[in-house]
Amino acid sequence: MHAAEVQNKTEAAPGDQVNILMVDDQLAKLLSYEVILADVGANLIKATSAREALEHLLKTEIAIVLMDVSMPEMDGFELAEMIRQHPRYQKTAIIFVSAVHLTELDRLKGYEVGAIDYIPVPVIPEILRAKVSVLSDLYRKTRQLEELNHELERRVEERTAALEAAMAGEREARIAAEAATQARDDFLSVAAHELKTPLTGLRATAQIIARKLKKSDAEVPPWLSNGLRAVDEQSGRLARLIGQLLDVTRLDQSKLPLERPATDIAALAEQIVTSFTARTTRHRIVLTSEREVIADVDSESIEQVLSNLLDNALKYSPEGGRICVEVGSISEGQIFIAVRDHGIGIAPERRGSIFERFYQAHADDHRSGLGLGLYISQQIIAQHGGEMIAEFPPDGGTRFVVRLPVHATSRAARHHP
Amino acid sequence: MAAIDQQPILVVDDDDTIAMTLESFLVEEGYKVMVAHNGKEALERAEASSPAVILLDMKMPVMDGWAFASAYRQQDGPHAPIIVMTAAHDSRQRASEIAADGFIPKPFDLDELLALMRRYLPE
Repeated sequence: MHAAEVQNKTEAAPGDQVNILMVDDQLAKLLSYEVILADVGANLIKATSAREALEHLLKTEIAIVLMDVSMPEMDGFELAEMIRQHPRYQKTAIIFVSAVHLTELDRLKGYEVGAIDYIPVPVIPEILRAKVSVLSDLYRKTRQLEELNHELERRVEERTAALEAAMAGEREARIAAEAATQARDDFLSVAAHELKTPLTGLRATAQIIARKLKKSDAEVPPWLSNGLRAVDEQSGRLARLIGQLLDVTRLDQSKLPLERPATDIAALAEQIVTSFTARTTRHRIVLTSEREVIADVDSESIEQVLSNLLDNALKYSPEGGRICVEVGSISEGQIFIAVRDHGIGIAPERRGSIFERFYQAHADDHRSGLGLGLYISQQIIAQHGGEMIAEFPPDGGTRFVVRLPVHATSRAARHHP
Repeated sequence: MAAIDQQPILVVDDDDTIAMTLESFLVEEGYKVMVAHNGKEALERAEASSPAVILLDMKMPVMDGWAFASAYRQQDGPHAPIIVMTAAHDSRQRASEIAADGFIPKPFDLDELLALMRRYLPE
């Protein structure tokens, strides 16, 4: 008979009951054991020969074998050895009952083939009952432990599988999200390009008409020159807004390229102030600057920051007035840029949010842009290892202060590796 | 201001409005101008008449700015400086990709373009 078939045919005792196999060639002894063990609560199986015992062992899961040492055909030692050879009965407890006096050598032989215990004849019922009781308890507990163990393993496997499934799901979601981000960036990139191309034609056309009018010596009515300037300016502004849209997606991924050669911030500021002065008649832009203020910066980005700040200063001082730009050195290898307007200022409850992405401090009037200018500016300054703050002077308006390290610092590298 | 035997400026842009506007602007400023609408045309123009400077758009059909730059530099003879005009977001990066001499982001100011271009023109 194959082992698999054996396993299929064996049945555990119902519930927690264990099977005890009693083997003796004398039926009378088996009956007496039966009486003694009646209260143990086990299922008692009788066998009158080693052969019969083996048949039971093949069919039934046996916790304890109680056997006579001396039997005809096959004695107890031989039977015990055969039982032990079967892997399923490694843990079966074998108790020898012996009528003859056993030498120490015999006992040793018995232990070698796997006996757990010896019970001498005459059998003392209390001792047999106690031993069998303890061993069947032990067997039950071991079996429960094994069941628990299996259950635990099953649950661990279940959880592991669930966890792996969840992780795979998360991975898929992340890949999908990355693909979506890439698609968005690609789209924005193409869209920006396509939007800027007609703007280029528009702006150049307006500029050419203005130049030709200027050269023609003809009397140019103000509505025409103003209109052309407006087209020129507004197309520039539209281009900046398109640029902001792209900047903000790139900032999110630290993709904004930064080159940081030593740059004269004072000269840069002067150039920007000059171009903004040409744009307004109501405001007076005053630049206060040290002669040379050198710092390692990406001049395009810093120009963008300063343009954003001046854009805001013009936009939020609709009554006109003075706009102060300061550039200078401060101690410990830092320089500063400050832009102050005397305009409508920012309501105290909104001051905490002005650097947030898409935040519009003046959402309820119609001056607002995309809510990206200050966010992008602050990110650019942070990428330089500097900081940007807003101050709210008691006499009105807003003052933005940018502090930048003179040299590209390791601090900046740590923030943006 | 412009001599008769002056070398032309090669304007390469697939957008008609931009190409035409630049042409009329530069002619007005006294320069000789050649216009091409893609890299392939630009290579032919450059071969026919050696330009003084090339104003190059990058994204074009048929042959784009990248392909033009590499093909142009493989041609014999002296090579004119290339100024990249691009509507791409990182115009500086585009310019450095083809080792251009200068770049100007679109939409540009004509005075700025003129000032940039003059830096690369022989006196």
